[in-house]
Amino acid sequence: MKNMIRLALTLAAYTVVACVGLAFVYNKTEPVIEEAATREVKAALSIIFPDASDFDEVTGKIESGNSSISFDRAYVAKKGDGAVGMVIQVTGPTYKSSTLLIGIDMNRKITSVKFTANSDTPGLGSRTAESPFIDQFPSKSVDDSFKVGSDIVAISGATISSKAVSSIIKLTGYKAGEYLADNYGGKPGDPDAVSTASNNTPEEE
Amino acid sequence: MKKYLNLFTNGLIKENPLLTLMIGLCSSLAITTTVANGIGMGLAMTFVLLMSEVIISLFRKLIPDSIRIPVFIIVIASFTTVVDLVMKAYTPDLSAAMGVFIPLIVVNCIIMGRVESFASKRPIDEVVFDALGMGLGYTWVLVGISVVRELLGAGTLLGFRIIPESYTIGFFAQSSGGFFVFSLFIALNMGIKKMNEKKEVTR
Repeated sequence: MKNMIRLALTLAAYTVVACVGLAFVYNKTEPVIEEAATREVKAALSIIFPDASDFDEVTGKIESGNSSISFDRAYVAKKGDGAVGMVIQVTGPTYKSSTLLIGIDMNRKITSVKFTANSDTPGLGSRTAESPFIDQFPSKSVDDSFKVGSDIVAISGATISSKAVSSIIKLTGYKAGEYLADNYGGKPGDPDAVSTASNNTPEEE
Repeated sequence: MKKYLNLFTNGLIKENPLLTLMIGLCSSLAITTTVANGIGMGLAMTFVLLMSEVIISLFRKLIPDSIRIPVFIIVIASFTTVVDLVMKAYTPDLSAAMGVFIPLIVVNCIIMGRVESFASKRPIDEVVFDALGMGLGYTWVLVGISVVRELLGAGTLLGFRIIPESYTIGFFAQSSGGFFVFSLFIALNMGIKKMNEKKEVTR
């Protein structure tokens, strides 16, 4: 019994020392990592809206209306004083999980979709981040159905990833369209159309 | 002096962790598609191996035998996390390219194996040379494999184009190509060892 306590205390001592060391390193590197991530996002933003002069980060959180999909960051692209569209960084479950940057213009059209992280199966689900799958989304209206089999062609062998990515883009685009209409005078959606976005969630594995 | 030299060269050829002991293969086959990855992974691994072996050798009398494995894991995991954080902060591109394989250094058999069989029993001066030998033994094989694979598979070396794109062999960029090149390196290593043995005999 005594021995057991001694062993536990020894192990605890090693763990505490290791944790203190790690906390120190984490404190030193965390701001640098954060800065690098922001720089990467900013660079990606100016590719999505090349003619925008400025990007305002949306301070209040926009609710996705779906517990498993979260909008990490949102930026409103501005040219002079007027908004030209917005970019939302969204993380949601695909086969595993993906993070995408989605650009939406004032006319409720998707302008660009870019993956910043994708942990789906390499060679199958990961191909949702590549051409030709990803090329199906730009210039689509957020009011389209985004249904695999009707207006989206899935990647064979990666149907779950394809469906999930499509519905994340649909949901994000729809919410962005609403946000732009409410705050920046973007083209409003058809009020009679029932939002299908929140019902169109990806199936969990 | 001879003792240290032997410990050091041991890891390079005779007991090369990848080519002779054949441990820690998973990461080495997965990341060797570009030379930059090979160098980065090799150095990250060498750092973790060196620091873990040194710490465990220093504290070897203070680690009770029955809980040595958890203590080893704590030490290795801490240094791996340090490498992961530092790489994310200062070489974000390299870190993104290697993805999950940096955190997976924790479970790399080479480190666990050397710590268990060598560092936990030997004094620190021997341990440093063993860690450097093993680490560089791992690194040179990684760089070697990735040079062949990047040159033939993508036609570039460290990102510079050497072979025009239409003449590259995609096979070498795939994992099957990795196994193929890896087996050639095993054969090369066997050959060097045979030659060394012959030299010893004739001397």
